[in-house]
Amino acid sequence: MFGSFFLRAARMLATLFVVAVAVFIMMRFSGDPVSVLAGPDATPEQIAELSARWGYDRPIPEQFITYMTGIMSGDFGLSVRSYTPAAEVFLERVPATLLLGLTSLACAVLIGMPLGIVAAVNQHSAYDRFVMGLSVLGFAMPNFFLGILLILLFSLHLHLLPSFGSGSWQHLVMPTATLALSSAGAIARFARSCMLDVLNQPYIASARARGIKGLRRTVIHALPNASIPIVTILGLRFGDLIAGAIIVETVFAWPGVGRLLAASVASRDLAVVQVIVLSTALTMIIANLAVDLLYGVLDPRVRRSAQ
Amino acid sequence: MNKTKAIAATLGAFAFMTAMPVQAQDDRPVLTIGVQTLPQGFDPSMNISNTGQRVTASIYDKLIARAYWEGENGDGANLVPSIATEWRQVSETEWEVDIRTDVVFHDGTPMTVEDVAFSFGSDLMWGPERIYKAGTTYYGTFADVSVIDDDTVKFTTTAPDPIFPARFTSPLGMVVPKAYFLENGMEAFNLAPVGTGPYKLAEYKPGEIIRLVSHDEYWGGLPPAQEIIFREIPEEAGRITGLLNGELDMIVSITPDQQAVIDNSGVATVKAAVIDNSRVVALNTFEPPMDDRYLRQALVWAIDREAIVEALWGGQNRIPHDFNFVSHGQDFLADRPNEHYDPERARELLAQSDYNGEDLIFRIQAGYYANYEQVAQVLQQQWRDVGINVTLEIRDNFAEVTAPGKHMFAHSNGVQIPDITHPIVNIYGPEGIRTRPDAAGYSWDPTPEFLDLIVQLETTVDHAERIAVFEQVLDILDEERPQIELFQAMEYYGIRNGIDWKPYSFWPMDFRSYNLSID
Amino acid sequence: MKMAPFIRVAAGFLILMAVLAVGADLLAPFDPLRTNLLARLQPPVFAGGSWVNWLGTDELGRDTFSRLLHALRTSLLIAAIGTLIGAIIGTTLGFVAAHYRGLTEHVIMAAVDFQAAVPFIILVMFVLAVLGNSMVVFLVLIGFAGWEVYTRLARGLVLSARQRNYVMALEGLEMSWPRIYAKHVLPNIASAIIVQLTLNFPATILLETGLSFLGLGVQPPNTSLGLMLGEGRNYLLQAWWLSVIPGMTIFVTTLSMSVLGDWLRDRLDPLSQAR
Repeated sequence: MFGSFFLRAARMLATLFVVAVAVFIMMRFSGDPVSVLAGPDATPEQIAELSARWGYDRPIPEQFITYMTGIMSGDFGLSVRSYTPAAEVFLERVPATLLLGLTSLACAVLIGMPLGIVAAVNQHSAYDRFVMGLSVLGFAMPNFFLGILLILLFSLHLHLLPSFGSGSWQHLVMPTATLALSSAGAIARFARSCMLDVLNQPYIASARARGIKGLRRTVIHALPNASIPIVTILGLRFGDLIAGAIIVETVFAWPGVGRLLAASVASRDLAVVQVIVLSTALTMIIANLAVDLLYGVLDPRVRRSAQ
Repeated sequence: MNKTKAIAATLGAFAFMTAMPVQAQDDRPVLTIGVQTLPQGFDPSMNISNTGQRVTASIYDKLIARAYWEGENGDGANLVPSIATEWRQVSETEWEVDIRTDVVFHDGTPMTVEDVAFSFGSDLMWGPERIYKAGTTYYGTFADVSVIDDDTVKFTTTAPDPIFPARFTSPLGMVVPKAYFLENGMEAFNLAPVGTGPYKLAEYKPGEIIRLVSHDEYWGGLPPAQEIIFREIPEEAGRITGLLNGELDMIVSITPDQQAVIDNSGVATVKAAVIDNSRVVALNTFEPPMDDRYLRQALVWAIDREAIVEALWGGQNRIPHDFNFVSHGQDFLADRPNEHYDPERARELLAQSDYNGEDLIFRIQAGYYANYEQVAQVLQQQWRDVGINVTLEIRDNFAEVTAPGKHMFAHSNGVQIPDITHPIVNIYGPEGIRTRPDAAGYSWDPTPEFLDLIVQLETTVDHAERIAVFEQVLDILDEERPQIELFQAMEYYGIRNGIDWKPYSFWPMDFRSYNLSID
Repeated sequence: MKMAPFIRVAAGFLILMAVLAVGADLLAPFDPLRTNLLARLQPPVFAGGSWVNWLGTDELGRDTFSRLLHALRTSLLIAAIGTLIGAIIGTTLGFVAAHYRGLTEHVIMAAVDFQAAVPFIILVMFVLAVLGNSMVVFLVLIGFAGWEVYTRLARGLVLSARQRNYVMALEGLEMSWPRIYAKHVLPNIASAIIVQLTLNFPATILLETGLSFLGLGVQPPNTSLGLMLGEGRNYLLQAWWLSVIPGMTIFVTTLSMSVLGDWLRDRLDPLSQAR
């Protein structure tokens, strides 16, 4: 097991290296980032000054070495907007996104899992159809539109919740709801299909034959086995939440990484964009490895084969 | 568990006790403003855009102020004392400026003439090794700045400079602390600014919040607000909801169509300001068939700016004259005729031209100028109606906008010094951003005679003579038509009822006592 | 094939949308770019408007219905081309990985892992930040959405097909391997790929919508459902129809596609017969 784990880890690190190189090539590909920074009203002197300031006037190989050694030591260069280290700019925003992402994930799981499991147990019932319909509704609704509708309803008309910002649990409600709703739909569908797989296994049929009652059968025999693939998918859903956060954070003025990315892309703050891309890649790679490990712990077959 | 609770309780009580006395003795209000974007810092030269000037206006004072507040629409153009109390011309190229002696910086150090001399001296503004690269745009005519005594600074210019005092009202007219600035450098100063203005920076979270607190030792008297808080709320719906819910006192960057929603709410109203910046179509006179003057003239007569302004701004906006701005104060040539909608005349001009239905490429930077993309789509329609085919190309950045192949592109002309020389000098002067071959916006080669007129405009002292030269310049522009001015930039502010505050005809938001009172 | 009523409704709606999109030029009563400043923000007929612009007009007085048809065409085209590019690239890479094994497979699967790990919208935003936006870049990018799913699918299916004898037998006849895969493996795994296509399609429409909201999608004067929805959101308080009409179109189209996809999966994919 550890052999394959290290193989995977090595493959992931190699991927990360390739991504870092690709990021650099792409940034150079864009031609002249300086004229983008300087904007329409800049004089040629200002453009030359910016070019020298950001090192874009150096030879490409030199820039590449600076870039790679920078990445190795955690130095991603300066944000062209704030003139502070891009890594700092990024790290400052991480807690807000983690808070929103984890709360949403928890909500999505708490809503989606029971819905999906109950739907599987009652397959082909009206309830099953209703839940499946609802789950499509969850991800067919563009989340910025849902977010704005929530603001207009709960803030403008009902005066129940603050419309923007962060700081209290009330602030968390609408962004979490917006993000969780789309995720919950996907989780419900996935939980349902995992549960169905398990329910169709012979040992459940034999449990049924032994006269073990419906609920007991579901909870004690089916659920633990169905939970294995569900746990693995959570690692991937976390990535979806980060993606969703880009839009939801913009709508609700939530000061997280998603907003930072949107703003940095708009102003071509490439140093910050690059930190976010590389950090997200790293995070997701670690999350996937963690999921692999967890999978081994949860699934006795994997554990046994490793010994 | 109990221990943690106890600590939390103690901390809470402590925070409460320390917070209480401040609030008890200060009944001035806290003003919270919802903005679409926060600036990335506070150095005057690094944050020259609209989002930056909005905030830096409260942190710094200019040497000489422009009395925007005197104008009915916040567009007064008179120069009034600020850090300088008086100024006089002592010879053709020499000025003496008297400086206040009761000014204290935010960090408690008194401001001196040394600080003023540094703020407009060669090291910072106009020398070859200057720190503010853009300084020469405003102070390129300076030859020397020297301290005379404790309250006088002498400025020497290279040539007679009729607009000398007006230069200090530009976005780079602010006084900064010499010792502090040099010790920390521009980039550190950008994040930890020290100025003389009525409010000082207390908290800054990029992309989230800027909190300014009252500078109680302000030379202009106790500021009217205890705190000014800027919050970044990118979505317009979020800002409007925040204002109508009472979470915000003011909001900026509202689209004109939202005005009714706010005005009808009963809790807030909209105040609009026409900004001293016209949005223009720069015509690329080098790209055939745009080298044909008749075609360029036809383009301007074919468009109905009145209808556009009426429909998109409810008639509140102004139709600009080329380089002839209301902000020029007494020198605004109100009677000068302006092109208007005349499709017949456009067709006649078109018939005189060599234009044969070629596709003209009109490039616009995405989302850069508010409302521009919408207006461009209306223009496209109006041009098609007289037989001119225009293709819109929305591009991501200005380098792509000005790449070869364009016939016209979106640009702007902003008045940063309230004088007839601005913005024409910066745009079509010898070093203008559309006449210099190495500038991205290079699109017209004026004749030497025209450039000579521009130089005369800058250096002529006699008023009547200046105006005559200015009219000559405008006549040539009308004939050559290297650009079309479309509409003025506008800023719509949503303001909670009970706040008396006037928007200005430029980006700064002024929260000094003469412009802000709160019930 | 037996079809539940709501499956028929979903299929019917999708056909209608496809017809409207293809016939946009003929069916649109007005030029979608034709502005009319005197008739801005007209309400649709069910909100008190006139039949001339029966779905109302936008902030520049353009006919909403005509714009909707063209937006539909752009969005469906992007989704269709995007999904197809993804399917072709993904499936081909899956075949290559399964055929060559070894280092090639490792490299391809590492890319798959990475693509699965990093939220696609982040990659798209990065590429658009660097390359700038244009329709071609945009289409290619959308095409890369979800390719890794096809790769995994195709690779897995080929590996299992190779266990079976007929491929081996054909290899014995010395046919070139791309031909073997194209003629003998592809038809066998087509159903699984078609199912994946229907599931990928709505995701692509939503991706386009999200990018347009961020200003990174289709640029005016072109329009798409996502761009219409994004532009209309600021008028929710005065002219709700500007966002609700494209919003509902996106919603019902996505819903129909998902419903149909689920149904197809149950029909075609023997592995998930039980679901």
